Amino acid sequence: MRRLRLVLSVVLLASIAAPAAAAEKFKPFKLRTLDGAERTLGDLLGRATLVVFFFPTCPYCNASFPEIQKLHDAYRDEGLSTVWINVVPDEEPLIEAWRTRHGYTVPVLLGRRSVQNDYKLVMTPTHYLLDSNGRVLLRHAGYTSGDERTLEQHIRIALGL
Amino acid sequence: MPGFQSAIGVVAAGAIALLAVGADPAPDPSSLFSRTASAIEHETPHLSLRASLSREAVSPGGRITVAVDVTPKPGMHVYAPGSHYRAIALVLEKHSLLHMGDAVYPEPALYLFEPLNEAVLVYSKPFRLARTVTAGRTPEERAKLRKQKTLTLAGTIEYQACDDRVCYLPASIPVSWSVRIQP
Repeated sequence: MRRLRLVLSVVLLASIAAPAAAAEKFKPFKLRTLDGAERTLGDLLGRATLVVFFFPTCPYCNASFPEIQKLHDAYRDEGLSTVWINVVPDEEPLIEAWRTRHGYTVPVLLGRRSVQNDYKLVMTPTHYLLDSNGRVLLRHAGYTSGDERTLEQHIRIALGL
Repeated sequence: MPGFQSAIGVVAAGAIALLAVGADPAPDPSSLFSRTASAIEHETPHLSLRASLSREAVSPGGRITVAVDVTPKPGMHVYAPGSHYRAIALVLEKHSLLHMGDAVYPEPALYLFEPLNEAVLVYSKPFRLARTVTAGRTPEERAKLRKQKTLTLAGTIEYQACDDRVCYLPASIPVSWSVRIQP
């Protein structure tokens, strides 16, 4: 059993190390919060940072965000920073009520139309897990029930837990 | 390219154009293209679009019928009006001499969105979307139209496509038509 755990840990670490070895840096940003303040990537980086691109009427975002909120709640004190970036500017007016309705506390940033090109986004939700230096550890697009468990495994490793 | 990965996909986009002209009665989407004069076909990563016009000119006071045939790619669906998601729409720009009618949609299907156990109205099979435009309602508008040789009708086709795992970013496809004015 111990050997199996060791093998699984090595496989999991390898799956993270591979993209990290490519040293892809997440493109820096300076975006507004719902309150109008500006935030940069540097302002938000934690020991690990989960960035999720979304828009409020995206069905799969709405399916996955309760789970992302749980991850945020569970690992915030361990150093996980989470941020959701809206990629459809014409839905900005919906965000405040949407956030309140669902009880979300994950910080939201307002992406400009250019965000879609800047990050070569094709679909939502698109998740990026970053290390403390802003390097991309993992990219995950879409959502199927259970994906949050895989994401959590990667978060735990990124946090050294 | 959904799933856990390090590669990043790229989306393609494009534009189409179409129109329908004449002193038409209100559109019957099922028979609209029996006298199609021209059509332009366009592919997106999510849909095939065929835009057509029934005639190439309009008389002042006549109606223009604009229509789009939409064929979702396998596994894709787009949202219908009545769902709380972004419904597919033919959005026409305002024009001082043109009056845009409401869009005519076919009956949508019910789709069970399992992650939220939610029934939503969608189109996942080929369907037709149409709008009627009246060229000049008042005598003044018709008089102005008689002084023109052509007019431009422009807009966008707006939609959001999803499959059983992801939603693609909302798309906006510009459309533009030059309509000849008949004396």
